[in-house]
Parts: sequence; C-alpha cells; structure tokens
Amino acid sequence: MNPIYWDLGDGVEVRTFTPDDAEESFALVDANRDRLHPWMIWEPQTRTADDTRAFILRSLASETDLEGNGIWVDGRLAGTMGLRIDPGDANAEIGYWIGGEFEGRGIVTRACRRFFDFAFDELGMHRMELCAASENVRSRAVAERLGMRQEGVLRDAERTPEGFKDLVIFGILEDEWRASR
Amino acid sequence: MASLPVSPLPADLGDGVVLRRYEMTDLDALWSAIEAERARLAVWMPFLRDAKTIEDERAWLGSVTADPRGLAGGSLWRADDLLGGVGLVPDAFGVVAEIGYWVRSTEEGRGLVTRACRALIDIAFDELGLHRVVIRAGVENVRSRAVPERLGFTYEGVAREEGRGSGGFYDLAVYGLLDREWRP
Repeated sequence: MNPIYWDLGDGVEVRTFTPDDAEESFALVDANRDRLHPWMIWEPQTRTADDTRAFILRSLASETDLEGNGIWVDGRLAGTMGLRIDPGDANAEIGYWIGGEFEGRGIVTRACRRFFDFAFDELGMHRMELCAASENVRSRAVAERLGMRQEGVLRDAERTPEGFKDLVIFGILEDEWRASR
Repeated sequence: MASLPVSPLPADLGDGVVLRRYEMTDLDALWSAIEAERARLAVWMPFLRDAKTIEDERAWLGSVTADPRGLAGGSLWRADDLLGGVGLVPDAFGVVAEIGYWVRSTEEGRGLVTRACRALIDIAFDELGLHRVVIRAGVENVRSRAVPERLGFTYEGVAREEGRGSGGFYDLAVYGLLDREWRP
C-alpha cells in the first residue's frame, strides 16, 4: 500500500511511518506504557526501538494493509493509527492509540474522519469497522462520535497483557458516511 | 490440556465420510464440484469470485497445502467423492480462529458440516491451544446459521454488509465459542 501524507490543519499531520521514525515512535510507547498495558498485547513485547522498527518494516511490506502511520501535533509524534484492509469484501478496520498528553482534544476523531474519507473515496471500501475493548470508554467514544453503529460484542476476542477482553464491534457503511459529512 | 484426546486428520465422521486435508491431486475433483455448485454457492461464498478458472483453484490448493499442519484446506470425502469444504483459519496471534464451510447440495441436511466443525474445534482448542472460535454466516442463510447454533456458539451480533456474494453485500451474523464453553 502506498504511503500517505495528510495535513489536517491546526498543526496536525498524519503520515506513514518510515524506519527513521522508529526511535520517536518507541519513545512514545515507552512514555505511555501504563496507558497501553491494559489493552495492547504488544506493549510488553515492545522493548527496544528495534521492535518498533520491525513493526514499521512489516507494515511497509504489506501489499494490502496500511498499519503503521503516525499522528504528529506541532511536529511531535502524538499517536499511531492504521488500517487493515480486506479488499475482496471492501471492508477495512481502523485502529489507533494516542499519548496521554494529547488526549481529549479530538485529534484521533479528526484523523479517523480523514482515514474514512480515504477508505471510502480512494480505496473503494464499502464498510469501515472499529473494535474497542468494552471497558475502554474513551476508545468507544471515538466510534460513537464518528456516527458508527454498535453491532455486537465479541466475547474474549482480544488478548491483552491483563487477560482476555470483550471487544465491541462498530460499523459504518459508505452511504451512511456520505450522508453524515 | 495436552493430555486430552484430540481428533487428528483424517477424522472419521461416520457414515463413510472422512474429513481430511486437501492434496494437490484433488484439483480436478474440487474444480468439478465448484463448477457444479457455483451458482448456488456464489450467493454466500466470497471465494468463488477468485475461482474463475481451474488455475485459480490450483493456486489456492497450493496455498492451503503448503503448510502440512494447516487446517484451512479441510475437505469432506466419501471414497473419491468430494462432498464439501470445511476449513479453519487461525489469526496471527494464536487467539482466535474462524471456521468456514460449504457442502454439496446433495449432502445437505445430514449434519456433515456440524460433525466436521466439531472435529476442527477439538483441534483448535486441544491441539492449537486457541481461546476462541468464530463462525460468520449470512443472516438469511438459515442452514449455515444452524451449524453454530447446534454447536452451542453464542450469537454475538451482526456485522452489517460485511459479506459479499453474487447478489451484493449482505449482513453477517457473528457467532463465538470459547474454549471453556466447549469443555466446561
């Protein structure tokens, strides 16, 4: 998948990670371990910048997915976002996390909007999906702000460092997205 | 857990039917079955979009037979007759696997798919150590939905228009089963 670069205004930029971003990306993980630990199985597995570099290289090598992208705020890395894409069914899943000091400013929601425009307009997706741990109230709020519909609860579908957790599945269809913007 | 009996493949499903992994030599049998059932299966099965020629199927068989322990290419046989496909695909994290299936119209209603799923679920939990098995079926595909319902799966929701068949996009009912529910 070709890399992306978007200027969302107000000093917010989204672009695909390159291996040169590994140090900064790892530093952000390292500064947010307590926040990530309840949700992300990869948090304890990310021990050095080399682990982050390996993730970036895997992401760049994927022909269909676009998993490794960063959100920068005023030139500082604030979070990570990505898409897993099922081209055959025209369905894609979005995932994200953001550093604690950047939370509560609507940055993730804005970036998701741009990803949805991209997925529907440029990738020809029919449906976007978002899964959030049922206990992760802030993450669920993003899906709700985006106008996604809660479709179900996938029991024990995510393994985290704190055990298995239920995932709430949200979906939005192309015509719903176009009607909402 | 490792001491529990598992159902290795091939598995005898009774009534002379066996669940085994596809081999490359099954290509002609697979292609004949696809050609005969195409219109009926294409309503629900996304894989038929990618099965336009026998060469597409050769490539698919190559991919599922590449890993001799893989379960994506499970198939139902009575002697040399291919009756259907029942495959299990684990995720990259060793947590969740999804089962998908199809069966020849002449073999519907005998419980063959349910029996094959049972064998694969045994392997998923006992041998592979997975935690959760998922089956997704078209909301209106009553026969397909009956399989997870018979097996005690929990209905967890509807992924709207996530399925894509010859008639367009359709809603998928999502069913989940956890290891502790299979062998309480």
